[in-house]
Amino acid sequence: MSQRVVITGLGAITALGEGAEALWQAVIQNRSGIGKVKLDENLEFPGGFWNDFDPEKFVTQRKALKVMARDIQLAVAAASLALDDASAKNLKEGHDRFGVIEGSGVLNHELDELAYSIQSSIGLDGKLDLKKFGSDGLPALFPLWLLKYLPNMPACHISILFDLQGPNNTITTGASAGLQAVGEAYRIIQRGAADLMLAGGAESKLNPVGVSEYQVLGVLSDCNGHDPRSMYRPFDVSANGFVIGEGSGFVVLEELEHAKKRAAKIYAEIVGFGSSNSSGRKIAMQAALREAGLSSKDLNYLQACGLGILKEDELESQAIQEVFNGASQLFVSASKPVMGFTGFSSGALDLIISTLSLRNQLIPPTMNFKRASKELGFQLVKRMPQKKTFNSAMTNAFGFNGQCVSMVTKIYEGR
Amino acid sequence: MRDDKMPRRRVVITGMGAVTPVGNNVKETWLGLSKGQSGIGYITIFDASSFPTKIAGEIKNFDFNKWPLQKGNPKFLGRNSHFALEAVNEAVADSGFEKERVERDRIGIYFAAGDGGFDFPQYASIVSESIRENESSVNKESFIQKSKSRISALSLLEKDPCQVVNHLARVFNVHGIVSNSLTACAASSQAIGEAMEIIRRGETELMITGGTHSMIHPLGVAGFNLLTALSTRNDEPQHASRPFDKERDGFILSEGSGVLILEELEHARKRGAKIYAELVGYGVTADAFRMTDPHPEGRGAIQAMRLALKDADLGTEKIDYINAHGTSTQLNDQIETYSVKEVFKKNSKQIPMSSIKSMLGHMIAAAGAVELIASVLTIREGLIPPTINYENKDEACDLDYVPNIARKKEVNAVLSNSFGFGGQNVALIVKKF
Repeated sequence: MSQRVVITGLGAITALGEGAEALWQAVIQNRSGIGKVKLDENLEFPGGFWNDFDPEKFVTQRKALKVMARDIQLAVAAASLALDDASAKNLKEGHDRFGVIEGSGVLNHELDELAYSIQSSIGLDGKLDLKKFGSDGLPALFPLWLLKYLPNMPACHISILFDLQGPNNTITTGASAGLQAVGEAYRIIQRGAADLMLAGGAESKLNPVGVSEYQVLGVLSDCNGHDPRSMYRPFDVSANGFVIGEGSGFVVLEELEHAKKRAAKIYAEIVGFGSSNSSGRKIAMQAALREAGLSSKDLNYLQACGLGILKEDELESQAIQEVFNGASQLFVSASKPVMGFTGFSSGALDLIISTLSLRNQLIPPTMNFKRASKELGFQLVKRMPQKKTFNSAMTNAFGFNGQCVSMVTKIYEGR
Repeated sequence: MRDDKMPRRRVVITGMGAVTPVGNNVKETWLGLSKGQSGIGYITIFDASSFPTKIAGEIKNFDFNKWPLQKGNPKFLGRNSHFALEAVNEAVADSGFEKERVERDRIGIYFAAGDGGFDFPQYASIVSESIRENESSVNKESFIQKSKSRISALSLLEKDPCQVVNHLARVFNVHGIVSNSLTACAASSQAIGEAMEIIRRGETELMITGGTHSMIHPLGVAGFNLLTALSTRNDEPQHASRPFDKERDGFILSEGSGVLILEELEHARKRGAKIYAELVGYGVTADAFRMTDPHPEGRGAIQAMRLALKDADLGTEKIDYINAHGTSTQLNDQIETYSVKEVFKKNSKQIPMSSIKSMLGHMIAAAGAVELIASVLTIREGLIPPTINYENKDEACDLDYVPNIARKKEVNAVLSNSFGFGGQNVALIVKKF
């Protein structure tokens, strides 16, 4: 028999500000946090960015902050908020059975930090001279430089700050990493290896390296001359790429009895999780449904990945169509236009939205969606949130280039 | 807690593949390890002549044309992708499962692929050409424009750790669970442990697992040098990695890949597969202490070993050999020794414990997988690979490290340790089948 796993805490930092509730309110109100982000003195770029994020509020040690890339600061903040929300910060017992799994990946360097070092490494011909880098450039970097950007450092810092001595993992499966991390944390509690797990992801790509890389890959919406809030359009016929968002989302997962014993607030129960390769959208959804013991006729709400890349959205809608086969009870929505595409954290943030949707019995609208290029084969919620009675939800995190994962959550019914 | 009365699906190892600094397949690697051969030499991948550390464990005589020329593969692959494709190919062929009809969504991949590295000279040139005159700050607009015109999409994709598993899933036609863990030096052991759990709970019958990594690039070496984690014994490359020796001065960065095919026992039996060994124990913890230093009393390491023993349902007296993490840093080797003594108590001095990092260097995300392969072969061959370069006894390291020469011994069960920068601890146990 495996243990039952419930969600008892939500934490988010997004362009909408601090907390899961701030994100949820914006999602149901079609209010986008996307704006212009200052990348340099005279350089602005469209993106979902929270200007007032104050890492010092979450990490009081200045020295620790200095070795945290912004992604790490965001991760620590959302993890802290999730633990607060779960009232789980002051638990005295059992820390050897508390753990953390974070969805992460390559973290981008701060360029100015490298400038002096690289400047000292330029040879007479104006090109980089590795000999000079070894002798002059390298010593100019600060000693802990590497640790600031190692992908597993968010989970490391979180384990230290909150004394989580149990399982600790870092999942690097691109855009699906955050939700994959939650799925794996669910498995760990199911098999009895932990009682409480923080799981989620964080990403900050609203920086010169991130912007240039997404441009090379050709996946960004061209906002030229338009209000960037209107340019991110999942499933719409005019979808032309995503807008970068910065964000972090964490959930607290708990073994059911552990949560009950301390009378924790229970948001939902995780009942299904599926994972496949980068084109396995259908397989992931079907595996999650099967484990949840649901047929395609039983599910009322699907929080789609909805990347806003035309081809990716087509593949997702086709897979949804095939799995649910025109099921009329299914309502689908995609919320990324509100916060931007937040990479490693996007799946975890979408799970937070679907969890609040389940709790509020309100299915959010898909902002900026007007009409699809061809028949979608399912009902995509637009304009207004839909009040419904439903007890299960699916959340997808797919591509681009990452793996495919799908999770099913259910309203917890006390048993 | 797991219900101990329920029979649990058993997991066996039915295939292995390796690309290491001592050999580009399992056979050559094992031959090198049993002869106490070092794979360490001067760095040739880039000009490291002015770096504090000029030595590493590079992969040699590798055919970098083989995989890009195969149909469906991109023309540009990172070193980590090359090594993984080669090692997985060997492991899949070795296991023979492709000869049977296995449903493709009942096969999964849980890998520990490191980041693909990147073209540092190109990146640095773009940064340097974008630096504002008379100050040390970068003109971001210029950086973005130059990056856009010079960097290729393929090279960007290869930077991403998940690109390796994309290649593997495509080339080996895997549709089941796909995941990738990157917990520094513990990553591939953690991947193997999680892959075992996936088969145990019945999600797949077969898992391709292991790791691949190369951090032998300017920023990788520079980063570890800044942390003073690397050995600087540049005049004696082959003697630089000396785990547990009193004169050890840091680890040696190396590269490569190690891969294991895990299979549900009945599935393996039914198809008459060759069974190398049974994977029976997995423990994972975090130190929750500091970014680089291990917990001074080995709290997390001790707990990981105890969890693995409990999972395997084995007493400490049943372990015949410990394949150590043994990095050759002052702190790791001392605290690993202390932790093993805490777990194994009076038995600790009787159990041989060696570190093959003395020969291979530290393959970071790929290290644990290659060490598990060595553990499996130790059981199969009745031969314990040595800790080479062991010359000077350290008071704080007083166990039997199998110094310098491989030792014949019947071995039934092996504990393999992996500890990561950042405090992740993983212990695995394999047993004779």
